[in-house]
Amino acid sequence: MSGTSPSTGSGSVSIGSGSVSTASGSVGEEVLAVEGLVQHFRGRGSAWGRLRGRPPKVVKAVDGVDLVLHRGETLGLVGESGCGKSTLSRCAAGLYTPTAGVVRYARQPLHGAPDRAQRRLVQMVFQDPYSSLNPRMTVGQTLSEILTYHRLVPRAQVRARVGELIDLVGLPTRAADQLPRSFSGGQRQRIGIARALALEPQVLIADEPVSALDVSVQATIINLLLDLKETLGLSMLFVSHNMAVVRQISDRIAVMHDGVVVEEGDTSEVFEHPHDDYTRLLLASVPRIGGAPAPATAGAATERGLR
Amino acid sequence: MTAPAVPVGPVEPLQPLQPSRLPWLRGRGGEGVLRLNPTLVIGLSLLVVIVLAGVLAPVLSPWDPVAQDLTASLQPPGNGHLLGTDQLGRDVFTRLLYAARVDLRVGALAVLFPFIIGTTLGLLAGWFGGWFDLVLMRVVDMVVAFPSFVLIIALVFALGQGTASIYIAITLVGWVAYARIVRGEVLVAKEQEYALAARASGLPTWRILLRHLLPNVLLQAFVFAMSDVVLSILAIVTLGYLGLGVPPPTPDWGSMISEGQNFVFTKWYLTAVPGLAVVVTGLALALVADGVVQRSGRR
Repeated sequence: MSGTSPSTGSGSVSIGSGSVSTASGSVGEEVLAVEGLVQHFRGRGSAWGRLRGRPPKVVKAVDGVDLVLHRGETLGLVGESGCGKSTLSRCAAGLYTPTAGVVRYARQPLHGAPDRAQRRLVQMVFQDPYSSLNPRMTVGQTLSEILTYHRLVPRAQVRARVGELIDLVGLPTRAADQLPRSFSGGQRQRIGIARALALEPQVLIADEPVSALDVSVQATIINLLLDLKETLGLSMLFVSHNMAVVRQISDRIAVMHDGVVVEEGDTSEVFEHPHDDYTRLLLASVPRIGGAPAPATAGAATERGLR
Repeated sequence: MTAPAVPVGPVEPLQPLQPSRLPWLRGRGGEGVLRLNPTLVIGLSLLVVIVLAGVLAPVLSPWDPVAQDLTASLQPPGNGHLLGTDQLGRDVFTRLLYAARVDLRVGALAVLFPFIIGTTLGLLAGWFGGWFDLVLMRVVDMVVAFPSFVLIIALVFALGQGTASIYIAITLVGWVAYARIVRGEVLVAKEQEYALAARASGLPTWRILLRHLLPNVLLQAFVFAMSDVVLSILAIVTLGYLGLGVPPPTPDWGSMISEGQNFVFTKWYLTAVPGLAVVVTGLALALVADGVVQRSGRR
């Protein structure tokens, strides 16, 4: 387990979770882990600064993070905008090569970009359903391209499998022949989920999958994700700034602030007995309606009420 | 874990398909493949008329475009010559039609090569960045810093007269515009999540470039290409005027204008009509470009 490894980056938090038992029962072995993960982005700096030999500014998006996702578990990653959640999830998805640290898929460390087989293990659902689909490819083309390239089904059955995937996310089969522009945000996010599922992954990384959607649609997409997680036996890293949503679906929670994980633990534990000041601040910032007592439950209730 | 409070559904209903009344216009996405709009129709019609005029020149006119008849020079319109004759007694209308062949071919080819080269380089520079991007963009800056006509004229002069030299010279100067446009579009498109998603799906780089980025960045380059055809024709016209263009006696609009300029006060139509042909061609191409942009839903 990576939880016992020493801290690598400044202010990194070692996660002491040797055996994990959660609200939904015991979960299995490690499927995805990051250890001592550091991702810095180098700014270009000003021309004047470069002339004077000043080093360009470095943005420390992720600055030493250890996290483990276990089989069958939903890990909620929360934090305010710009705290490095998205960068962390993109590193975990193999889209960025980290500055330092290790990403492990099924206990195997990645060397550079994931290979074809490793890509199949971990898939990602993106934040913005309006820019995450190629506007010039129909839903069927998007899905069949992946199926064909990875040779997931015989060529003759590609069409049928596309229909299955579309059906799996609750869209009518004729959606296959339509371009993304004829769909609403919620429907597009369903297509994004179908694309991630096309590779039959074991891990789904959802990077703020509902924050761009109407509140009324958010719940349906979250329920779809939970439903699929149960039926397909997925593990999920769920990134969000919405405490109410994360509380509703996560087994464990990691709270991120300024590129480091400041608190990590079982959902109920973190919500009821937060240790870190930042976590308390985050919990207190959940909007309340009608003077409801507990902040997080009030948020969840509000969302359901709005449904 | 809290149980889901809301059932998975209901899913919002899909927009009903609106099938075209003409089945052959129906395409992917339930929309007409051609999705014609008035701008595109007018532009394409004009272009078709110009192309047909060139192609059907031998049918439309009984005269030979290059045969001289010095006894009938500078005839006014009429008397079998629709637009009169030039100083060598050649039928102006016939030369106008044959010139469409030359100018459209040279204009299109002089845009095709820069388009392909510039788009390819811009795509690679935008996607890979790094030293390749740096070097390429400095080369672009250098070419842009020169007055393009002077550069083209110098190149044609160095390479020797002839249409091949014109293609090469215009290509050497023209690719920079496409490289710049496409590079800029790629820089925007590669940050879109669909490009990330394609990578997350494990698709190889060449496939992401060709199937995901290229179709989404080509529109701007295409719009520029349409106006570039006119610029190329103007370059050929200018070169013809300087005696470096299409070698005589092959008719092209540029040489017709330059030959007619001596008579501009007495036989104004010798220069005005080929000039008008250039303008109408430019208009047709501009309308096609606008129409395509409208059709694609981007403004």
